[in-house]
This record gives sequence, structure tokens and C-alpha cells, in this order.
Amino acid sequence: MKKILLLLFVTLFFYGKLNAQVAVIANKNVPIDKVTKAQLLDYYSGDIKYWSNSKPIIVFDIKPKLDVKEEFYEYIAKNTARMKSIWMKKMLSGEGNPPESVISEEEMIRKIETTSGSIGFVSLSKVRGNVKTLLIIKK
Amino acid sequence: MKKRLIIIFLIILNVNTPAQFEESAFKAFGYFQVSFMQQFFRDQLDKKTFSVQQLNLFLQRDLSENWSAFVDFELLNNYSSGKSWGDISLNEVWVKYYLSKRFNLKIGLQVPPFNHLNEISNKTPLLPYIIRPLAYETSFNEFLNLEDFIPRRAFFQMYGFLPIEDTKFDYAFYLGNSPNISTKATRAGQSGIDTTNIFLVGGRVGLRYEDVKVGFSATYDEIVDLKNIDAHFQVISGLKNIPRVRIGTDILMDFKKVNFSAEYIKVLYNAKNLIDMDKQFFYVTLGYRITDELYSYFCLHSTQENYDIELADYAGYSTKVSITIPNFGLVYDINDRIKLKGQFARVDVDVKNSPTDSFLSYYYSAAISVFF
Repeated sequence: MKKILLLLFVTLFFYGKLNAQVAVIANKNVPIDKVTKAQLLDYYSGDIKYWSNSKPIIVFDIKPKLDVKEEFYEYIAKNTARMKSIWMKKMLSGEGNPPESVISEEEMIRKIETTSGSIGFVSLSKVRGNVKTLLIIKK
Repeated sequence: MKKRLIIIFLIILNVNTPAQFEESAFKAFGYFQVSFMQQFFRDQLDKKTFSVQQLNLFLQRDLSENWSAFVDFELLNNYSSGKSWGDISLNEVWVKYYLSKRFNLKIGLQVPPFNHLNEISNKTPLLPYIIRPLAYETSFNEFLNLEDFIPRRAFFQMYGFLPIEDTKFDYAFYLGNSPNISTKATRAGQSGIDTTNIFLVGGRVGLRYEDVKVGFSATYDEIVDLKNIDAHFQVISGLKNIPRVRIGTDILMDFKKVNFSAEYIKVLYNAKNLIDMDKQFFYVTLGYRITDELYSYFCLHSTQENYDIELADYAGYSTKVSITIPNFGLVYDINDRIKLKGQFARVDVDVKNSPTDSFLSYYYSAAISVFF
């Protein structure tokens, strides 16, 4: 019985760790295989709008307030509020639009699979399907 | 040679009109700020007022992958043409060409980059203030000549940034009209156009590194006839083509929950030692994010304007006006689109040689800022 409980605890512990990690994923056709924190901020802030092959960069956000979202924006911009302020400034200056929001991590994966030039983020444990993982953000 | 030119031309055309561009949606959005203000002034009864301080309406459309158009209408102070209240203006009307992060071109009426706050000065959802730092408080336009401090209009701009590792070097260069614009009141022909062959020439260089942003801005233009710009100097005749230089510097820093921003502007006129009408402005803000929704700040801003006529016969005309406003406030984000703001400000107006015009007053204000 003790062994079963220990196994359960270890499984939950590692599942929790895996769940806490954020995977930055992209459509298979993007011309990069890894991405840096500075590049992510450039893409999400709209400072850089095209890939090196001149195709547009399509970024996706998640609408609900999920841990994965908090951790992603904390990593690239210190916090979600600051990211929202950057998007609002771009929009009110006519310099860009906020990213399209999806309602769940499952929808994020579907969108990334089917949208050419797209990039987004999900929990590492949720990564599946025909997408490219560019970065794993460890807490 | 002709063939080469045709090939180059076709390549350029191909860059401009990608075949895969899908027609984007026409977007209409805006924001407004409604405020309540109570003013305590000398021994008089206090004044209270509600006001639609500002309403901005935007239209935006991406015309192709590289071209986009933008329109911004601004209505101030409970605007009503029938009651002669407030003001309405065409704030921005431009088309932009995006070649790359290094080069953008903007043609049409636009707010030029001059210090950090000028770009967002009229965008109330981005600001914690109800009364903004003075040089940027557009609802004070009726009694403070804000355009002396900052350029509010340009018509042609090249801008972009050059990344070097994690540092970005921003640049902008722009052209616009000089301040010698004909109005319906002056009856100098078609209103709203520059009556001279002088340009406003300006630019900004800056750098961004992680959470620090610094910049240096400057403009040059000339005032042809001072009498049309400032009534105080009507007594001086024969003073023509006065060069005006604006110099500005700004800094912005974020440290986790604390942020700091500051600016300085100096306006210099070369009036051949006949008059001194130089001006300066600064603001310093220290902010602290208490929670995700609640933000607090302390701000100090000040303007100083010289009105000196350096001729013995006009000694009585000389004066100096200083306005200093320490203030603090709180902002609560109800959600992404609605903010509640509160602010307390102490306004100290000091007019040299005129104690009756100098005064001290206190403002309590509250506002709701809505983005829609």
C-alpha cells in the first residue's frame, strides 16, 4: 500500500512539474526551429511582423486566465497587464492589433496546426499533433 | 539596361502587392473619459463639475500587407457646437507603408514622436492620470498654448528601429507645417494651411534595452509674425521670422512592480535679444503596482514661461509664469476595458511681479476611462 501511495505521489509530482512548463509551439512551416525570449516579445508586441521568408507572423493568445498564460507573459513581459498595455498602445496608435484569442489550449493546438506562419503557447503536457516546439519555458 | 530596370521594378511591385493578402476587416473603436472634479480656490466657494473630458473615435483598416490607414477624431470638454462648448478636431489621418522593422513611412496628419508621452498623451486608457502632465493636457488647450511645448502635428515621417543583440535603436524623422497657419479669424485666405514656405523639421532617437527606454527629441521651425501667436508681444513690431527650437529628453524604467518615468522639454526662441519667451517643462512619475488591478503613483510636473521684453520702455510688460503641480492618484482596473481613476492635485501658479494673479488651488478628481 505504501509503495502504491509513493508511486502515486511521484506520478502526481512529475505530472504537476510537466504541467507547469510552458511549450512555445508553431506551425510546421515557420522558418525557425528555436526562439529566444527577446524574439517572442518582438513577435507578441508586433515589433516584428514577418518571418525571414517574408510570410506574416500570426500570434495567438488564450482568452481565459490560465496558469499557462500567466507564466508565458511573465516570462516575456514581466506580467499580463504589461503585455495588454503594449497591445493597447499599438492599437490606439494604429500600429497593430492584439493577437487573436482562443478559448482553450486544445483550440490553440488546432489553430497552430492549421494556420500558416502561426505561433502560440500551451502547457508542455498538452503538446500533441503536427506542431513544432520552439522553446520550453521552465518555471 | 532597360530589361534590368523592368526586372527591378517588377521585384519592387511584387514586394508591395503580395498575391495572398486577404482583405482585412474595417475596424471602428474608441475610448472616452468622464470625470468629476472639485476645485478649492482661495477663499471662494469650491467649484464642482462633471465633464466628458475626452472622446476619441478611431477608424482603421489594413489596405494590403504593407499598407494601412488610420483616422482619429477627438472631442473635448462636453463638446457641443450649439452651446460653444469644447472642441472637436481631426487628430490623425494617415496611411502607413511598412517595409520592415527598420523602415516605415507614414504620410498624412499624425502626432509626431517627441518624447515618450507625446505618442500616448491623448490616449487616456493608457495613462493613470486624470489631469495629465501640463504640456500634454489637451483639455487645457483653451488657456495654455500646449503646442509651444510639443509638436502636435506632422505630415510625413520615416521611422523604425535597428536591433543590435537585445538593444533596439529607435529613430524617427518628420516634417510638418510651421506654426504660421491661417485661421478663419485672421481671414488670410484658406484656413488651416501654412502661409509660409517654412517646414517644421523634427526627429527622435532613442534606445530600448529590456525594461529601460531613453530618448532624445528635437524640432526646428520659425514664427513669422509673433503677434499672431502670442498676444502678449503685440506691442513689439518689426520682429519677424523668429527661429524656435524644442529640445526634449525622456526616460522610462520598469522594475517589477515599480516604474519610473520622467521628461524634460526646453523651448528656445532666438528673438535677437529683444524678447525672452523661452519655456521649459518637466515631469517625474513614480508608480507602484499594488495588485494586478490596483496601481498607485506620485507625480510632479511643472512649466515655466518667460514673457520678458528686454527694452527699457517695456519694463512693465515683463513677467514670468510658473505652474507647479504635485499630485498623486490611484487607478483600479475593473476589467481590461474599464478603469476607475482618482487623483489629488495641488496647483501652484506663480506670476512674477503680479501677486494678484498668483494663486494656490487644490483639485480632487475621479474619473472612469472606457475603451470600446
